[in-house]
Amino acid sequence: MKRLTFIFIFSIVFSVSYGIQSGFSQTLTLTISPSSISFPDADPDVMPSIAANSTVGVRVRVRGNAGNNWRLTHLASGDLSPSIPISNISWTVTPQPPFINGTMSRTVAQIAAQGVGNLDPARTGTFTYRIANLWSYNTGNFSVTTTFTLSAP
Amino acid sequence: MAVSARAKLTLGASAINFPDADPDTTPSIPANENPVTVTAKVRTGVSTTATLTHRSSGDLTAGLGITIPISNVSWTATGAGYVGGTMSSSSNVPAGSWTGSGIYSGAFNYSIANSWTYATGNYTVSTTYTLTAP
Repeated sequence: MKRLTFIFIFSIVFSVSYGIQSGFSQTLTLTISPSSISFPDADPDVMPSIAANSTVGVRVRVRGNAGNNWRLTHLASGDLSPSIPISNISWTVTPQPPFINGTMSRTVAQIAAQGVGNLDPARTGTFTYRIANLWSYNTGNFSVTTTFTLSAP
Repeated sequence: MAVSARAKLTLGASAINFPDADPDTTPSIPANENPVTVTAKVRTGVSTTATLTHRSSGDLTAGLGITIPISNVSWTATGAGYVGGTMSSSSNVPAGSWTGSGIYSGAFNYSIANSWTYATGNYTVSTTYTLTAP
């Protein structure tokens, strides 16, 4: 299995992008921009759901993968430290397919896109992240690192 | 994500009224609006205490020099963190406290001591609740 990972950090500026090419000309390319997003503070009664300060463009290209499945997943390293459940963050994305709406998890990699065969030319999904805004949140600065993984057999 | 402190207080009634009654048969008059629901919404530190206090602007007044002491008005409270008290115009009276963020719901029941000494008239006063989330 070929696997390409991309670290994505909420509330912290961090930028990484790279690809892997196998010996059988199978190439997976994953590019994400920006590499971090943040959520503004807001009154939970006025804004029960807060959109991130930016959408995230996720560019996926799959080559040399004829007839095989490929999958893009997204996994958080934990909750928004120290105390906001990561499941309070969800995303919507276009275009669908191959991209898929989802809710973030720290235990199970969530499928963000999938397909069969090649994806060439590359497709870019525009992800819009939102966090549920609750009165139960304690004050502080919260952050988490998440990882996109593009894989194919 | 930066989460800042904030607080919001909602009362089920913006004014309460005490009906006239015979002091012998009704020595304590409950407010018509009882129970008055109260909701304190608080965002604060995990170990920080938010407080709710009450203060009257003065005594109940029906005209120049015609007053009923505000200390004749008191309340009882239901709901976690809420406490009863006696109104005062000289100090903030605790009405509730909570540690950490959340939505805290309760109710107040107001009453006024009924006395033959009260002069006739229509008495009013304004009071203020203050919810503080450090």
